[in-house]
Amino acid sequence: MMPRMSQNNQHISDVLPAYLNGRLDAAGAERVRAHLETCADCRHELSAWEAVSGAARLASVSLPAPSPMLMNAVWAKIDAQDKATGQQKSMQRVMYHLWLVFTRQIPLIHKSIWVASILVNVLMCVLVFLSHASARHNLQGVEGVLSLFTTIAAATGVAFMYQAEHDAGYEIILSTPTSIRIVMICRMILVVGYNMALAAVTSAIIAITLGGTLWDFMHIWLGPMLLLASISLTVAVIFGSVVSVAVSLLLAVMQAIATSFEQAIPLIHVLRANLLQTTPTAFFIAFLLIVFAVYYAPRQPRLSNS
Amino acid sequence: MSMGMYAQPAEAVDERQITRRIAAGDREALSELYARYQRALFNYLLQLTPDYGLAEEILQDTLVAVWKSAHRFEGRSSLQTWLIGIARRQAHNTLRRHQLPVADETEMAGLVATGPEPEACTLASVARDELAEAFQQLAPLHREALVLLFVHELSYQETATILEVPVGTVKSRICNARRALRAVLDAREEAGQ
Ligand SMILES: [Zn+2]
Repeated sequence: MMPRMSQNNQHISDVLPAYLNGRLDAAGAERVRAHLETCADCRHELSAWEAVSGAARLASVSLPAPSPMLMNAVWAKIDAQDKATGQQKSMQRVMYHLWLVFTRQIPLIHKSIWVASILVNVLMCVLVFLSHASARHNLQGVEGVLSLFTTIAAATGVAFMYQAEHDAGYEIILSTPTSIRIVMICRMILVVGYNMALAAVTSAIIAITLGGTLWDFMHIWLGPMLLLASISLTVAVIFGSVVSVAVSLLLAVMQAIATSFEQAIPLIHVLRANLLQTTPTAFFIAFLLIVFAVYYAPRQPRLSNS
Repeated sequence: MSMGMYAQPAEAVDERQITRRIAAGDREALSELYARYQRALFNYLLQLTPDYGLAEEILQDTLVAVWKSAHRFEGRSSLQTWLIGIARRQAHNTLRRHQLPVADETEMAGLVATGPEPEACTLASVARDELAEAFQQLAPLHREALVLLFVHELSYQETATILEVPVGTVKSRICNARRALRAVLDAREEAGQ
């Protein structure tokens, strides 16, 4: 640092601390010495700074040293942080792996599942438009048909979703370390989510056409769809997809025509009121069935040696 | 490189070498660095907080930060300046977290240093012990600047780098610190009589 000062006219008080701690360059220090010889004021200043410096040093001498074990605490902190970042990284890897598994399921699911659901929903819309005039007076009928069709589409989709012989990519899945359970959950989400999205679009179209809110139509099929899809999955895992489709059809048709027998058979009434509606009970049973199917699937010999 | 009263005897220290070893994960290197700078860092931290336990906690966090960021040291400042700068930031974070007062520039506003000024009795004539006791009563902001300059023997520029202020602020701050020391001594004298 170059001290800013003239030969003798200007005092040098602002560089005296630096002079004192030896941080002036040789030329600067020389100029300070020259000035000090001629200036009593600055000599007085220097002695004041010397006193301040001495006070700071003396006060520092009496300070204690840190604990001799301090580095142990440092290593403990470093190890804890390494572990935390390691876990964070492995968590990110797991999430990325799941995402890969999920997206890889899309081409692996049989194309007919995608097409069939679209066809069912298009058919549904066409039916509503054709019967437009009469449908206004018969909303109950529309609801029944909507529920029946969308539910069947989802349930059959799920039934075939879990079938090795229908699955071009099954070998790939088996040769990867991914658990069949994760694959099943991914596919369930894909197929049911796809069908729900389609049914929601259909419901919106019907709601616009016939009047009413989206939820008026959605609540008709949402519960039954999830419940039948989960039943379908469970049956497919245990008995195979053909039995599953048959059971799903049977249940769906029963649900649609059950209204007629409600008065005659009280059990059907109870079932309809609690399960084949969008109720918390239906969601809970659907959840239990999915958990069972996912838990049971890897024990199935038919699938593991396909 | 200057380490003031903490200087090691004629030891050629390759500052880049030791930080490179730390960056490469060499634990021995961090231990060496700690052995060399522990007193300097701990003394500095004790200017900011009188709580030894807290100062040790901050010192630990400083070394953890050094372990993680050693690869960023490029030798633009001396290793000591870099280390004290990290310690200061850790201290401010910790003190804020504990909701303790952090030395603040604003409290000193209004005091502007000028040239030599007449003193009723010169600092040089005061007994050393009394000076040291008065020094302990200074505000952390003042002790910090004086210690960096006179104990660690840093230049104005290095001190300014650590304190994150212009060089001019360092100069005026140590002048204010000296005036504050004078005021403490005067107050003690009055109280004593
Ligand atoms: Zn002068």
